[in-house]
Amino acid sequence: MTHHVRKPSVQAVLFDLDGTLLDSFEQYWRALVAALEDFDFEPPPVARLRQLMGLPGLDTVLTVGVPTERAYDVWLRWAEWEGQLANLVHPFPGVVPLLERLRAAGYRLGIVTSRPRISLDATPAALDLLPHVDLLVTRDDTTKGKPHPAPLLHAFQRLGMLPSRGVYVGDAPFDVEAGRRAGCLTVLTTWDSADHDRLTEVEPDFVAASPEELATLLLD
Amino acid sequence: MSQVKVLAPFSGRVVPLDEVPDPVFSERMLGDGLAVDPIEGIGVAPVTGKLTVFHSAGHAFAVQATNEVSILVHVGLDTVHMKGEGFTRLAEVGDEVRAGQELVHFDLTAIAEAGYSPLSPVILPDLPAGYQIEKTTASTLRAGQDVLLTVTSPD
Repeated sequence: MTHHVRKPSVQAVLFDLDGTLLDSFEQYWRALVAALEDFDFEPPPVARLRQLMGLPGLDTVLTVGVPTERAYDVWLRWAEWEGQLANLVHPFPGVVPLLERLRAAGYRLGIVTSRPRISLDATPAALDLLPHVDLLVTRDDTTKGKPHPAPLLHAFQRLGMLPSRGVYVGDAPFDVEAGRRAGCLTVLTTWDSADHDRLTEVEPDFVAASPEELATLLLD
Repeated sequence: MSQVKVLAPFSGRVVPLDEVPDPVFSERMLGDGLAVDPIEGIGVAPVTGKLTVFHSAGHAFAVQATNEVSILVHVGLDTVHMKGEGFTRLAEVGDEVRAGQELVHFDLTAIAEAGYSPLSPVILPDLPAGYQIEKTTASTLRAGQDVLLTVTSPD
């Protein structure tokens, strides 16, 4: 992107959590492999699982070759393993320094996630991020979730700020849509994605391929 | 914009997923929804659609309402260990079922005596982003008659 977000009109930066700040791929694939091995199925290569991430859970289990009559058991076991392996979720490299730099520059920071609070409490990496932000909005805070603008509007209200003073940063088309409908600027992050073309079809205001690029966008 | 009305698969008290003592459900690892504490051992189809999952132990089934919306019903917690004892399946995977149709009979006393919780999560697994789930505010519901969840597609 050639142009920058104009300061000081922007005062708050809100972030989506999963796939934007947190990388859960290792938890995802290790849990799936453990579940498959529990039922004596051959796990596919990790590279193949990378391609499947984002597919509905039951479809994933069927796609990797589990017969229909065992799919539910494997799927449920996979979810249990994900709970056991929640400590494998970690921030993407550069995310924590990014938050520190933005905060030092005077931005108010927040996390706006579709996850319920109880799920965050079970994820150490999510809790570790909380001291780096001023605000957390979860699925429990509003009746409607993204792409409805309600979670973002709730965040701006709590910050006492107009949405036009903010940016929403996320990795999914629905993040961009929620931001646009709330009336803030939108940044699409592509560091967790292989399919940039499909993503940028939603026409975010900015695209950031790395936390460093996002820092440049907001700080230079 | 389309809506799917998910009827209560059991008669009983409505319980938030947060209060279900199994993290797979309380942390919404498979999806969001509500649980029911059944007062009688009859489970019915919550929507009209295709039965896509019916565990051989009888304790879990899923009905596909539309291409995007599937409803998963889990009868009790950890009841897979009962290996079908106390459960009678009344339909087969692949069947087209009608909302309110009886799908499983189960013995609440047997579940209690085996030491398992009868709390039965009803969830929307893998619901695509953008779908909204409206949860009932009623405290008790009748199986196959009252709406437990209303699922609305993105507009």
